[in-house]
Amino acid sequence: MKLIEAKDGQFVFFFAKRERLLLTHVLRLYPVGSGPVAPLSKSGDEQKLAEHEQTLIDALAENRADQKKLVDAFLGEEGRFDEDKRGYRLRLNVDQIRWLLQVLNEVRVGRWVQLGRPPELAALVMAGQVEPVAEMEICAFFQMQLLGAMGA
Amino acid sequence: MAATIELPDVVREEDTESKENLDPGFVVICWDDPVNLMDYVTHVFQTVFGWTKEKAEFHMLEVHQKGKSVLARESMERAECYVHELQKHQLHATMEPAK
Repeated sequence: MKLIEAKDGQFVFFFAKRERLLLTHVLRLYPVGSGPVAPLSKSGDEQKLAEHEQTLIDALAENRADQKKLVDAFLGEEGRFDEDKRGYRLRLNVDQIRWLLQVLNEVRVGRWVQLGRPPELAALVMAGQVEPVAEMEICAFFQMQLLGAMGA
Repeated sequence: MAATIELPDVVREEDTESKENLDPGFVVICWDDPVNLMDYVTHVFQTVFGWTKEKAEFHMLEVHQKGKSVLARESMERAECYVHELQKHQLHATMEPAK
């Protein structure tokens, strides 16, 4: 994945064929998470905040359902990836990049939560958990490319 | 002929709350975790709070180096709204009663 053009809030990325497959693979995993990554509050009055805690859970569930529809539309959109001889070109605006970053991070963090919130990933690889760790790293790779483009 | 305007009576409140007695509200805190990318955290702070890159990086580094950063002090409703937005981006954010 490489940024090849950035002009007037429009970004064009080149994807090798293998990279497109990897991006599609991790996006198809969405949604990975099923609840909040943290409680609403660590020290607030539990009884007072119970209703608000549920509101957070509901808001995140609604957000995931909306995002899932967008992911399906993105993956199913004809012409989203323009094919050329060497690979594909993907055109995104700033809002689409922000959205893609959020989705990729959900997959990355969701996998981490599923793995038991490990402090580091190396031990998991040695224990045979290669695939989820690889998926997290693939998300990170695409996130860094997108963030780099936004900062360019 | 110009009409006269009748001004409303002004009632001056004699008793006001001292700052200490006002609701202190809630602080929005972002906690460190080993999974969110540093550049992504900066990006989310900029997006959610509308901060400059410099301010967002300052708070991101505070999270990374000190384990947490207080991002805002707000009413309960606004603090809750910020936590929702930060958690939608998968950041480990909570709201705690301000002291």
